[in-house]
Amino acid sequence: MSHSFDAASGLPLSAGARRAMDAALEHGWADPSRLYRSARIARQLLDAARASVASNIGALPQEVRFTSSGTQSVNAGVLGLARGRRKVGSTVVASAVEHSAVLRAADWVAGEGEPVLAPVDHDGEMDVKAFRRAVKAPGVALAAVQQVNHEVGTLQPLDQAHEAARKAGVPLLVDACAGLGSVPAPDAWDVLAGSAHKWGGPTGVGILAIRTGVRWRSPTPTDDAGGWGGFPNVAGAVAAATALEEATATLGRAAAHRQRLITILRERVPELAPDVLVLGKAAAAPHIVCFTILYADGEVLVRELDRAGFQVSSGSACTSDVRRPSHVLAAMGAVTHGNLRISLPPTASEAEIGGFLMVLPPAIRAAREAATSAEAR
Amino acid sequence: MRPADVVVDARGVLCPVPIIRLARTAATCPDGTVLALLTDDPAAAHDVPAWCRLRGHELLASDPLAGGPDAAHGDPAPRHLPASPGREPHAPNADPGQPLRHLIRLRVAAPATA
Repeated sequence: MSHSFDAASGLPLSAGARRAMDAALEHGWADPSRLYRSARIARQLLDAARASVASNIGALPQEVRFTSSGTQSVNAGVLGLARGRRKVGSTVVASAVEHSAVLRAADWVAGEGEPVLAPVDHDGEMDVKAFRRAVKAPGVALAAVQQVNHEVGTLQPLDQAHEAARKAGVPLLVDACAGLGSVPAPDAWDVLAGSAHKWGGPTGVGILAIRTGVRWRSPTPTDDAGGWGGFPNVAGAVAAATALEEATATLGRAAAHRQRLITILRERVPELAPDVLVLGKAAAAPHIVCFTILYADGEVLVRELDRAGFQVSSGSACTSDVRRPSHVLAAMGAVTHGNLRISLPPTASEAEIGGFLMVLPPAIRAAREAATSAEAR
Repeated sequence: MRPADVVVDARGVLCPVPIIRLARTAATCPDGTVLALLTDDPAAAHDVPAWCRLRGHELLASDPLAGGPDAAHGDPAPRHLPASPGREPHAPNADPGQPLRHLIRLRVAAPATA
């Protein structure tokens, strides 16, 4: 039996979402833009999904779009805002620890120029003063700040960032992919991006919400009706909305439960072996914790833990061909090797944590021995 | 600039080996020893300063080695590693024109293994 401690990469489809998806596949197969009965059913299902997502993220139904992934939401959000403000400039201001989907979109928009990245402290929290200065500069098309850092769980100061961007007249895109379903939806945003499989919805479904009045222009050609993104994935939207309903309804309890287990990990893991440190603040997202395991290769550690039945993630890239250290860890001034990210699903139990704490010390020993034998070669 | 007391050569090995070699050497050196690490691992430019901060050693300098013979080893000009196609554009070392070889100097603080 394998235990997934990698919820930040994605959760399995919830049972309720699967049932809703089945029903939508059966009844909502038709083209929602047609005028006959089965088309009207598909339209109603899609509209209901949109209204449900809107109510759970604090948006209006007409502000919500479904996309094919969190990355597509982020890309379309950044590119569409930039297109809407191309007369202003092409600079994107972002925190240095944004997901690479945001940073690559910002690079794309910048063309010959470069995005401006606000630095973070050792916990990964963005420097609001630097951000404020950056958004005030001329030529800024948009700003982008994440809700929760995907690697270390740090919550970003969104209220202050939104205030600074608003004062500068710059729209703010909030990448909420790592947060939605695990922490309350933010309200400080002009454009919001989310990813359904991270809250128990299906893979291949993202959401993009654009506040009324925000100047966003489709970065790709639109259809005859002015629509965007092609034929809608009605069943995917229905399942995504169902899972977000479930996650939102149980969010408080699930957060308290996961926070308790994360606190156990934060306290116990550094005691289990020498040279093990916690990264980031205790007051972070309730489901993510990140450790530095010095003198070990994070990828070897991930494989050792997988063999022992636990699925975790690492931002280290020591042995990969690209040899690219995590830009998040680098920006934090953290050690980029021996990185171990644990992100708990709502179903994680205290017994599983106990099991994990048993297998972790031998896994660390094995990973360190592997690194030492590499050293001897 | 005070010359290094001990040179740790970690060329050709990837993280975490450069840090392991540094930690081993630091453990055997008295307080105040100046170590120089020679590395071509792009992660070392991040990892060594971070490791110094975590373990209490004092980072003195971290410099890319650009052209010319290498004083520490009498080497010819440093190898320029090709930029990886999937490189992260925001990593400070990602500039393809920048040599990936680094000379990092630090002062060991006692207890060196703390």
